Amino acid sequence: MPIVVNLDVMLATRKKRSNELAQFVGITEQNVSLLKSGKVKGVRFSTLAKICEFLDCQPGDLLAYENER
Amino acid sequence: MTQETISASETLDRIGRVSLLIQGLALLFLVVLPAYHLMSWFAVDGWLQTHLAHRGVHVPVDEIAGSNRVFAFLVQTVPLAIALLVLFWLQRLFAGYRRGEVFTLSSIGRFRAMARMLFLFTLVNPLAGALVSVIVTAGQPDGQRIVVIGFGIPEIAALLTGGVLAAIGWVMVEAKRLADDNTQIV
Repeated sequence: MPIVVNLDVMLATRKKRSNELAQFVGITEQNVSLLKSGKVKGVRFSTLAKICEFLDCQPGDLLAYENER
Repeated sequence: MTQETISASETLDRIGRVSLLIQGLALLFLVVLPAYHLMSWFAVDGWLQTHLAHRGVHVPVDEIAGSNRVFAFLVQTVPLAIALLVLFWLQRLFAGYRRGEVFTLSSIGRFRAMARMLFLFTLVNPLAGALVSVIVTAGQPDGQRIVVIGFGIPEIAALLTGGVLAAIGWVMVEAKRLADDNTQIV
């Protein structure tokens, strides 16, 4: 998957925990775990907005594109 | 709670209420149809007379020998059993809807089961009707024994409904794929 999710990095940088993020965003901890590992098929803009609000960051801080070639 | 989630919740409540009603009706007919079948062959001659007349068989029911009546009843039970299976799967389908099983393999399977039973009914009902006409007129004098083969509105309706349900089953497969994809979107 060329889209890399840097959520674990941002959580560590902001010194926040996954369960706190899950509760704030309104998704399960399992989904947060899947998101961190990049094993989701997509992220809703509403979810992305809530994560950015919680971590006080930009979407670009969370997502990166890596050409697999 | 957002407006979107309130609407989804209201929709699910409505689905639950309608599903309960349809499930109840299906269960009711699961009891009523066999009872009507039994009573028309063995208790209420007027019902049997009307039933046979609709099939083009005009024989006084009191002239049908007891053994022939039993045999014809058993033959006619076959398409009835198929119809009861359709009702069984229908009430299982709506019971599933009440549990939130909408785009699932179970609900798809129930659509396909009902379609298969309706196609089978289309084949079996005319054959059963023909056999019943032979059985009930077997005791009649020469020249009054008949065989009636009919393919009418009940069979056409079953065929069309089976086709629609089969098509819905195919669409549901795609809907399930989309629903599964949706669960992997956070």
